[in-house]
Amino acid sequence: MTEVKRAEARAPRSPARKRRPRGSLSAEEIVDAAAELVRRDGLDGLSMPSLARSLGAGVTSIYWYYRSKDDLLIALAERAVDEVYSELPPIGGGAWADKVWRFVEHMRAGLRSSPIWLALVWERPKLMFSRPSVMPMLARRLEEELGAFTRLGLDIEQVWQLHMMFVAYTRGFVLMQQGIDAEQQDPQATESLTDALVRLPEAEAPTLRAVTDLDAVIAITDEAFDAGLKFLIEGIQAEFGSGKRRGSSRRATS
Amino acid sequence: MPTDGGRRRSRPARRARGSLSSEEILIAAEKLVNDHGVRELSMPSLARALGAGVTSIYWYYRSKDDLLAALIDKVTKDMYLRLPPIGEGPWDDEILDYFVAWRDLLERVPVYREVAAYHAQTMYLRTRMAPAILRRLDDGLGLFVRAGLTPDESVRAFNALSNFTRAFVLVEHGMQAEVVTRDMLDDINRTLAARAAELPLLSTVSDINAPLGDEHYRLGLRLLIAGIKRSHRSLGTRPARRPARAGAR
Repeated sequence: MTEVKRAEARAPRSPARKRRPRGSLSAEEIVDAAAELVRRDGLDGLSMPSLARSLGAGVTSIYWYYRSKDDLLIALAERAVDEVYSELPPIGGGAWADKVWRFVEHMRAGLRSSPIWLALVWERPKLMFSRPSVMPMLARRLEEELGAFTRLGLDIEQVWQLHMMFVAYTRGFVLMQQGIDAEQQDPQATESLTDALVRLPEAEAPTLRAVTDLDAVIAITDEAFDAGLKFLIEGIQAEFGSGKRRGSSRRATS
Repeated sequence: MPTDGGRRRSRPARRARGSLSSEEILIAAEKLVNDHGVRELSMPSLARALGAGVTSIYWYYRSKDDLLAALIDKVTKDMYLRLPPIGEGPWDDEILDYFVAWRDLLERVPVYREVAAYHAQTMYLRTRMAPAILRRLDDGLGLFVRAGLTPDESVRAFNALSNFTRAFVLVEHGMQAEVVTRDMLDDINRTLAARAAELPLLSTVSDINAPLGDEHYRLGLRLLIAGIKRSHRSLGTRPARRPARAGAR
């Protein structure tokens, strides 16, 4: 308690703001305000003092609901997971490749729809999965994805490596897309590539000159994501061969 | 560190007017991003680091956007110059080497990572596409063309590898930066153990907390290359020499 007091004494510096009456805060209101801060300034922008300031409340009243910033992050995560994953359709059945495709696409859609969820799993992945309250819905989907891979006859360690690799690709790609959203879209994108090509002697860069869609060279778009995902899944097909069963006839005829 | 020192001293000695150069400003900006990330880059923080007034920076760069564009330009050129040249070996080996080298660079130099990740498109768009960058891009694409892809197919393949690499480095870095306590890891393991019946696969992964690393990156790269081969049956069946038609317009 004394520590909390000290925290409060350190915190809000604007005495001008009117204090709320005691007990007028609610947990929901606190999480709303925290979400707003994270949306605006990222996870770094969220602190007990900054939250208290934005609520016009004392730090102590927040501690009454959430003992630490991590607890707050978990509350944000619970809400995000609920919003994101209740919207998503189930992964469904079908061939392993289709299931993996859908799992990854759903993961991407979820991250794309919730910048807060993206920030949380990017910067605090271990914290997110250390709390049972965040885990269940995710874990069930994850289990389905892993199940799809095991149909290839891979052992669980290989499957987990594949999963981690897909997670990295997906989260990172969405982060890049978000970066592009935040920047002004430059309508002169392809023009600058074209201009640059014009400045080079004509004998140089023969391949680039033959490309019909220069946009595609630097594309960080949904289509570009899908193209990469398709190559990865084809690669699994090739390396870990479901080819043993289905692919062999195709290979024989080619 | 220099910022702190500067702050604590009551008043850092101001530079003489006109002693700054645009080059010096860029070097300071690069250092700032390397040390504190691109989010910390602002005209005031830069002025502090340089011991100069904000106004003198505006004299060289009219806005933060201008400064950022110049920084991206510089960083992109430096980065591409530091990559080893593409050799004459089989296309898949060359591609692997190329991207592994790029990733190493992104890992080692934060400002490269920040630019490649957060300014992924601007990196190319705002850069006055130095000939060196274009040639290198063309060499990369040329590897696929040499192996039998059309220029457009080469673009898709190259773009996929490039996006994967940048995405991976970003997420890997995020994971490394997290402060993880023993308690958190124990909690994860405990939760999984408690749900073993419901999560038969997840609960048997031997080290669920192993961080992302080289092996995951190389796995992805290997799969992408295998996937590109499989999607284009012509790959690998042709000699890796440059076919005559590649030079045609």
